Amino acid sequence: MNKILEINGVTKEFKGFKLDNITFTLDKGYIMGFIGPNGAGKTTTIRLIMNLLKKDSGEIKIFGMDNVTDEVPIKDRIGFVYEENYFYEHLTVNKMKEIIAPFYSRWDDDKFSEYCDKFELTPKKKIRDLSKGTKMKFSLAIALSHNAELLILDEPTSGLDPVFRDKLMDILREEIQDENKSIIFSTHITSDLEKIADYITFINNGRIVFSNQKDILLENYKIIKGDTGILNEEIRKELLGIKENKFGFEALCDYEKESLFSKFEVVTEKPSLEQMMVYLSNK
Amino acid sequence: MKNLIMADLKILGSRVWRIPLGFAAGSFVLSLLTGFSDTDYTSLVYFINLFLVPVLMLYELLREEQKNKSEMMILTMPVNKSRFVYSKFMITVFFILLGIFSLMVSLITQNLINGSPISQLYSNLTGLYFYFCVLSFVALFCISFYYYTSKLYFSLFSATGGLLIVLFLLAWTSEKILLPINSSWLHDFDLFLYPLRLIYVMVGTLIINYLMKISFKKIPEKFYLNGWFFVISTVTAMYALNLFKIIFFEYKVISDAGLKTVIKNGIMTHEQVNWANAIEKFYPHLISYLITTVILIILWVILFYKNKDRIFTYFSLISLIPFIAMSLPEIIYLYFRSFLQIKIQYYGDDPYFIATISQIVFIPFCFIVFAKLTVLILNSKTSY
Repeated sequence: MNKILEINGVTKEFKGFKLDNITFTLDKGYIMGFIGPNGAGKTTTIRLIMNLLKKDSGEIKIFGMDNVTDEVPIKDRIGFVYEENYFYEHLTVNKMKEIIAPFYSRWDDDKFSEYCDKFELTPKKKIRDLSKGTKMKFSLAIALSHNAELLILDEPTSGLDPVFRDKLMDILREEIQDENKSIIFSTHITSDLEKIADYITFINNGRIVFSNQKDILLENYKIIKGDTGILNEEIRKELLGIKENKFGFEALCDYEKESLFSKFEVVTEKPSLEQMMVYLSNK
Repeated sequence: MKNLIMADLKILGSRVWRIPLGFAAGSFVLSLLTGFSDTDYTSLVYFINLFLVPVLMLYELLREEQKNKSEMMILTMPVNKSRFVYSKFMITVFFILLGIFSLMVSLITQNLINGSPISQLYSNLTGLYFYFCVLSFVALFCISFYYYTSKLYFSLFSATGGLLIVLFLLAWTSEKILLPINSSWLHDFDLFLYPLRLIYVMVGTLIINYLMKISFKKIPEKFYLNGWFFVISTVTAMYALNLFKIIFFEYKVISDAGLKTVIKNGIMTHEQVNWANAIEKFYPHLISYLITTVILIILWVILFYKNKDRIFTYFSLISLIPFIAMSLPEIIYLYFRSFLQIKIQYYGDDPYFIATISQIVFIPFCFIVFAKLTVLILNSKTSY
C-alpha cells in the first residue's frame, strides 16, 4: 500500500467560510508542501485530517484506515508539529516528555535523547524559558521520537529566522532518507518548499487549485515579462494572473499558451512557487 | 484513560498534595483557635472551606490547559475525544473525593481531640454525600461549559451561579409561586392557581421587557427574543417535570388500597387528608396540567424556530440543564416509589433509603449526561 493519505471530497462549512470538496493524496516516502495564503483553509484541512474538527462530508483515509473510526491507531503513527507552542510552559522538557511518551506505543527514549543532543535541548530547562526556535526543535524531537510514519507540520517555520528554517529543512530531508516516512508541510513561506517538497498542493478560498508533483507544476506554468502594449483582450483572457506597471507587465500562464507570445519580444521564465501562489490567489 | 489521568496529575505536580494538606492544616488551626475549648462543638463549620480543595484543583488544571491551549496538543496524540472528556471528569471526581477525604480526616481528628459524641461525628460524615453530589454537579457542569465557551472564569461563575439559581428556583419559585412540589401543593390545591401563576410570570416578564426596552434602546431585538425563550423554556421544563410527577406519582397513590382503607376508616392525619383531597381532584388536576404543558410546549417550539440566533438558543438550553439535572433525583425517587414497588410509607417519616439511592444514581447519571454533552460540544467546535 503506497498511499499514506487519501482525502476524498471533504467539505466543512463555517460561518463565512467553506472548505469545498477537498481531494488529494500523498504517497509513501514523499514530502508534500501544502501551500496557500492566510485563511485559505490549510489549518482547517489539517485539523480535519487529525479529527480535531468534524467534517460535514467526504472521506479521509490515513494508512488505509478511516481517520474517525481508527483515530487512535492512526494518531499513534503520526508526528505532529504545531504552529504555536501548545506544551505546558511551567513544565521542564523532561517532564513534558514524561507526559507525552506513554501515549505512544512505539516511543523510543534513546531516540529522544539523541534528538535532544542534536537540537541542544536541555532536559531540565522549563519550556517557557526556551526560545521560539528551540520550542520548535522540541516539538520536532517529540514528533520524531515515536517512529512516526507521517509527519504533519502545520506552519512550523512562521516567525522563525532563515538560518533556523534552513536547518529545519536539512533535518526533514535527513528524516525522509529511509523512504518510509512521509511529510505534509503546511506553509505560506514557499521558498522553504522549493528545496524539499516532492508534491505541492495549493489551496485557495477553501478549494484545491492544484495538487501535483512540484517539478511538473513548475513545468506547467510560465512567467511572461514584456511591454504592456502587446496585451490585447484575447491574450489577457488566456493569462492566469497579471501585474502591470509603467515599465511593462509580468504574467503567469499555462506553458501551452506560451506560443501566444512567439511573435512578440518577451522574456519567459520558470515561475517560483511564490509567484504561482501570488498569481493564482489573485485570479 | 490511565495515561490521561496520570498526565493531569503530572501537570498539577505537587499541587495535588499541597492544596488539600494546606487547606486541612489551615482549617484545623482555625478550629483549634476558635472552637477547641468547646467540647460539645462538632460541626462542619470550620472545615467547610475544605470544599474549596476540589474547586481549586479543578481550576488550576483547567487554567493550565487554557493558558497553553494544551487541549489541542493532547488531541493530536493517540487519544479520542470521548476518552479525553471522561478522563477529565474522572479526575474531577477524584479531586472531589480528595476534598471529602480531607474533610473526613479533619472531622475524625477533631472528634478524637475534643471527645465529642460519636453520633455527632457519624451524622456529620453521612451528610457529606449530599455535598459530594452538589460539588460533583457544579464541577461537571463547569467542565462542560468551559469546553463550550473556552472561558474558564465565565464557566466557573456560571456553574456556581447556575446552581444558586436552581436552588432558588426549586426552593422558592417551585414551591411557593409556580408549582408546589412534593406533597406541599396539596395544601392549597386549587385549579385556578396554576394558570394564575403562569400569568404572574408572563406579566412580570412583559413588564421587565417593556422597562428594558424604554431604558436601553440600543439592545437588539434578538436579546428580548432570547430572554423570552429562556423564560418559556424554564416554565415549560417545570410544567413538564411536574406533569410527569402527577401522572406517575399521584396515580400510584390513588390506586393504593392501603390509603383507601385509611380514608374509609376515617382516621386521618393532616397529611392524609391532603392526599384524600388529591384523589378527589386528580383528573381535573391532570387535565389542567396537561393543557398548560401542551400550550407551553407549542409556544416553546414556535420561539425555537423563530429564533435564528443559535448561540443564544444553545446558551438558553444549556442553562436549563442544571434545572433538569437537579430535578433528576426526585424523578428517580418517584420511579423507585412508583414502579419498583418499594414499600415505604408516603406519609410520616422521610424515606431516607430511597432518597440515598436517588442521590447515588444521580452522580453517575450526571457524569454520563455531561460527558456526552461535552463530547458533542468538542465535536461541533469550529476552532481551537
